[in-house]
Amino acid sequence: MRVLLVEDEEDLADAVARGLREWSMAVDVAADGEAALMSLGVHDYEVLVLDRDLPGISGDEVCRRVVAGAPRPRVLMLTAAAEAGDVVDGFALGADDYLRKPFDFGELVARITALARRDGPAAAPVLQRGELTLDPLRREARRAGRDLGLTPKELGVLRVLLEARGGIVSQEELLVRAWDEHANPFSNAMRMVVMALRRKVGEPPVIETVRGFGYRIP
Amino acid sequence: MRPTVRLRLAALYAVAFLIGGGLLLGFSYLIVRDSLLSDGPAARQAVIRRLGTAAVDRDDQARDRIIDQTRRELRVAALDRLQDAYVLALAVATVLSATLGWLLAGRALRPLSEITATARRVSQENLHERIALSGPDDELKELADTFDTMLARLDAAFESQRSFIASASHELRTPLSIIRAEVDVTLQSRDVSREKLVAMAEVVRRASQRSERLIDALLTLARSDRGDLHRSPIDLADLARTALAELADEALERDLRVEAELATAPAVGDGALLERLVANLVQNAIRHNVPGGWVAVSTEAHDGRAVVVVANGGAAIEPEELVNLTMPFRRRGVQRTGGSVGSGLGLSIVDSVARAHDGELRLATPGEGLIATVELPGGAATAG
Repeated sequence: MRVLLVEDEEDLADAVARGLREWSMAVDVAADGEAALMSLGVHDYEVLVLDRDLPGISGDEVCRRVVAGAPRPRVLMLTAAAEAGDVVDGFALGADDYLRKPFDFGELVARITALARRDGPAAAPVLQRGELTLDPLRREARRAGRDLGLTPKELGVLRVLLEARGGIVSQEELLVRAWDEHANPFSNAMRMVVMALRRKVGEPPVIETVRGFGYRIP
Repeated sequence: MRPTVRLRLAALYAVAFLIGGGLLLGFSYLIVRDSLLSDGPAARQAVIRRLGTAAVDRDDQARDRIIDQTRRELRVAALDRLQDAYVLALAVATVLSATLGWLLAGRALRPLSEITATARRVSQENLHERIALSGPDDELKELADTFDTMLARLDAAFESQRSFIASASHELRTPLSIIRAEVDVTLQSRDVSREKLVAMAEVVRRASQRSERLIDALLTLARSDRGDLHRSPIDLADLARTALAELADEALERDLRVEAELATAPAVGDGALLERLVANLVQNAIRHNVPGGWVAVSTEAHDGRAVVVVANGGAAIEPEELVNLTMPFRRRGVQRTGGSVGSGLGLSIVDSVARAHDGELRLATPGEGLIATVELPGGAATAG
């Protein structure tokens, strides 16, 4: 899952981004409205975590512009304002969810995951295909009940493959959805992760390579 | 019935009309009666003339008696009718005038009830409401406008208070959010190495220092706003020297050229607050600067006032933004302090402390950077 975090407090952005990555999300960070709009113009995100109080272009303005776009990420607003009226304002701007600072990190993860699930037909909280199950909130992937002990990145890749429901996931799509903007598209990091994932998932193999195109779990 | 102004005005109209009308009709009645009474022989002659010569030869006495008798009866009847008519007219007109007075008073006083209604409605939540009385520029409009001006001042005061609290709450929550997020993420991490823990501790420490700074600044501001001063003689030059010494490292880090011209500038005031004032000015000049820029600090006694001037280079400030600089949690127009520098209360504290000492802070932008001048009432010159 690809997330853009817009937060001007460097320490807070650091901590949250690090945490979300442990939950196998691909996280890009923008420190102000301008940078956020630029990233939004370049990449497709599933969820935008947006601080409301940004220097320069405000969070409200970013939200307005994002909501006006056609395929748009879900927007989760963060604010340090204490007033309930603020929450109402946030929703009025088109935010999909709202969280007040200081927040419980687990709650943030749960809300982001829930927001991403809202896309398309209602998806089950636990992804399943054949013997494989993946629970994003527990950070667990199992095969026939056995915990696979995946790293965050491997979980992220498996999740994209499972979400395709048997469809082929191109290498580009995998790169976009499971890696953040610092990924080098020419490195073989993806191949390495897929290899490790295959090894952990074990026999008989379930991840097929579609030569010259991508991967799928039939 | 409550003796309202409207009721009293209506009654006043009625009484005034009753008195005026009564006098008028009374006079009229007296004049009529007088003229009827005073023309005895003349009237008799007129009757005799009308009757013609036939009546002239009749017995004078009997004739005169009949005429006088008739005339008296007619006169009394006429006066009675006149009196009845006058009394009735006066009564009707008085009632009418009372009603008219009631209506007119109501009309004249309607703006007052508007003012009352607004005053009743206005509370902390809707201080932005105004009477905005239309109509002639009279006493009531003046009252309404005065009331509106007062509301505007109250509104501004409440608004600035609200905004201060909102900003302060925002500023206090931010370090808490950082601590909370950092701790949560670390606790939920799968592998917690010593390195990660140390990194977390550093962030948490930074965030809590930021809270402390902010709380100190808020307390200083509160104390100075309250005017709770412990006065003693103090030399601004000493304070400037201390501040420069404490901030020397920071100035060096930014590669700033620091010029100081510290002539003795005796003042009387609260040591801790004045120290904060001078330190904030110097800190401000150092932090809002460009690498390789300059800072100039001077103190002097001038016309019985103690003056400290802190100037710095760096980007020019729009003149209209100068007023904003002393507003809490504002920096260069943006209502956010962001980043790690200061509490966002620096110049607010300077301004407040200066005013608490009956002095003033003046800000000027001479094309680059900022010149901050604080003038305080001077104290007795101290030796050295």
